Amino acid sequence: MIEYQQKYIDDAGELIAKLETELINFEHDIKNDAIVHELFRVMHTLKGTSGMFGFQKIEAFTHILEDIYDLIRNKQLKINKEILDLTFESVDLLKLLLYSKENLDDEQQQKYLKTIEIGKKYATSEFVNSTNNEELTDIKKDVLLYRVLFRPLSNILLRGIKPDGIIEELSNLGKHFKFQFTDATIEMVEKESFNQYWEFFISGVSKHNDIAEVFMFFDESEFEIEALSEITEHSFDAFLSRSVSLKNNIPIDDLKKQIREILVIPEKRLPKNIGKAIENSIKTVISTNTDDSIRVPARKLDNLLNLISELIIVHAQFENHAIRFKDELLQKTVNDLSKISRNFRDEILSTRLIPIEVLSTSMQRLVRDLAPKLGKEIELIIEGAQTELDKNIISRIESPIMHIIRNCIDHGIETPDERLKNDKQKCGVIRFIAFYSGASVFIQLQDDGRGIDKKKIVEKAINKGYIKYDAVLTTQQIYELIFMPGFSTVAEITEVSGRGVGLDVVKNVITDLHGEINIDSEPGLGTSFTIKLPLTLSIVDALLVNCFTYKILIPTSNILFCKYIPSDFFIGKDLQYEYNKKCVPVKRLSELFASTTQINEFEVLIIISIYEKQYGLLVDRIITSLQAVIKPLGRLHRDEPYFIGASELGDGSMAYILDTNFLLKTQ
Amino acid sequence: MENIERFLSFEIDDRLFAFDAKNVLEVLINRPINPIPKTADYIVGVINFRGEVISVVDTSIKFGINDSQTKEKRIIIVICITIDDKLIKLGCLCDNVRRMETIQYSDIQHVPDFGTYFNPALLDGLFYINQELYSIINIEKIFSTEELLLLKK
Repeated sequence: MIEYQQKYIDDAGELIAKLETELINFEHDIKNDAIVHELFRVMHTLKGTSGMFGFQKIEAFTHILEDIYDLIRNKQLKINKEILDLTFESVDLLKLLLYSKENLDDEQQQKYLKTIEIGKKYATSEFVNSTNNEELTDIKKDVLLYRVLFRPLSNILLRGIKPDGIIEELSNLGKHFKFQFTDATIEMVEKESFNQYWEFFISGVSKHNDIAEVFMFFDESEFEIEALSEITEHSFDAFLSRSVSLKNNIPIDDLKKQIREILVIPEKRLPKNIGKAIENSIKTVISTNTDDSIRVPARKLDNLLNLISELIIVHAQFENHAIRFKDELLQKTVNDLSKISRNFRDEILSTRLIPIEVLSTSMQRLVRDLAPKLGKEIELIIEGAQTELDKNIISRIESPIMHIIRNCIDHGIETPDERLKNDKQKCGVIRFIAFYSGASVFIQLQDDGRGIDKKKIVEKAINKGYIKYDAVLTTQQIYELIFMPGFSTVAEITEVSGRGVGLDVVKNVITDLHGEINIDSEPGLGTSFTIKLPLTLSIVDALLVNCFTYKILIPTSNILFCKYIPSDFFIGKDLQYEYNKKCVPVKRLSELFASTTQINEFEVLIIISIYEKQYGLLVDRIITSLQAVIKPLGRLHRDEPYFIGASELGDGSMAYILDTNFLLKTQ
Repeated sequence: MENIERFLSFEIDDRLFAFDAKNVLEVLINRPINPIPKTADYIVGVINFRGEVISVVDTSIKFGINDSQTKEKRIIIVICITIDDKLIKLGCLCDNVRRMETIQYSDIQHVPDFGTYFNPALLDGLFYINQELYSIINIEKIFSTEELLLLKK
């Protein structure tokens, strides 16, 4: 039973997450009945399974939610902000109930009962069909494309309205594309009644109401406004440029299909040099957006990856051997095999990747909950949500990203008044952009807020004693200061961003993932954080060096520079090197690993930088730089933390990947 | 049939041992071992086994056999054991692998509390074949956490 319960918790967790995602979609597009149906369906499933596994509180709770959404679904209850807030709170409560296995503490229990009570009010007929509740029309405005169907009644001319004027007004709203139709019959023509209708695609309209206003004097049956939320302005431009080839009178469904087709083309950011794997996986994501997936234990994927790396190594040996035979056919077969096995490996690597989209719900949620609390209006725009990253990286990067967004909301974006004073849009924008570049994924978080006040940071740093009062720093160095432990730029401490604990942690997490973080800021215009991450944790860019008989890999992300050093450079036992006017301690790896004192004529000094600290390593020589597939060392080695793993080289020998962080600790 | 057990018998320093066959994955001959710096003395190095990096253990040191006449061992028995609910693969160096032995359960003798050259707590039993004594090694115990801790001292 326990086993089944765990399965239930996994499934229910997914359902609740789905609920949250749909809810955020719903808030952006409250007229969309399909979402209401989906919400209802998810609630219904959740209720059913919860009851089956004895989670009675969840069952009772979802039952109420289900009732509310049943009413909404049947148009007996109008959705409003209170109901949405209540549902969001309910989602939190459901998570709480699920993961505590329904054991709530007193405070939580209170909240649970209170929410149930409010929920019951809605679910019973109290609010049904009441007109007091203001209808939510435009909570969010990031919808960039609308479809408008304008189909005036035949008596329009008699009512004294010129359709041409309406068409012009619509055209003035923004970039558009219109179709004109007629359903004239001979009878209608004879009666001189109006028989034309139009379909518009308009982009650049921020509010549903802006369009609705045009139709002030029309009956509701005469027009239809539909938000096509998935389509951005950018793709619409592409659509317009292609629209020449489109003909009138295409069925609407076909048209929409065409628009959606266009949507996917310009949004892909794919450099050519990235593995076919990603390209393929993106294709799969686009073509199969449905639930067409299988849950597989990660262990099985790891096994597959192991086997394929093995195959590639054996293949390399085979290839070396085959050259000797000088057989053309054999050579060709070997080459083909090589291609296939590499594709195969990329494909398997990609199975571990998941789109970064999974973070979007919690990000949207954070902005939605936090911004009003701080009296700010903020819109979060997510771009490149289909960019894929290793699942492990995504789960570890989540809290740093949340932290940065929290910072943007709290410190970056100004209050609406301040923004208006500075000639900015009232509503602040935070952009989350993810894209590939080489074997890395870049995540950018930009806000259009007040930017970083360099003077303030420097003052603070001097006060806190991080830098000397006469220190001359570059802009970048000043920004780096905010990653110092215990740094907070806001004069008063808010409950949201806390005491500056965090940005240093953010940096550490990213460093641990072999990533980098950079800040760029323009006073008055905004701040942008750029995070660079490796595609997967199992591949690392590294320098292969020789040290005694061992081959050691040093992650390139930690290396500052390398230099040949004559053996008599270091005299005596004090190994030190002056780098950037700083004294950097140096370790000779061969002494550390093999306790030999034999020193080559030339050695290579590698300066390592990690967590803002530097040290040097002396190795015998550098062999090459390569991308190493990291494999964990066995359990017997877990107490010897010099290495984070091993990697097999083409000739079948093994190289060990140095844990640069550990050596720092032993300094 | 159910009271039959199968063992892989092998030699370390002229002494005879046996592993439960269900723990044995493969026997590798003449596989080059990659030495690894800064590790426990009983770990000879690592090898690549079916795409995984696994440690190779010098059984003479690990099993505490006083090895006076160190020969170079060329044979690795790859075993798979479960410790703390985790599957672990290991290579054990030995001098010679003999064969698969099929033993009647009733033929397995208890280990006497004293008198053996090997720590009785780490043996599962003994058996004779052609007047030769084989010791059945409890692999899981030998590589268990406490054992690892003991060795660190």
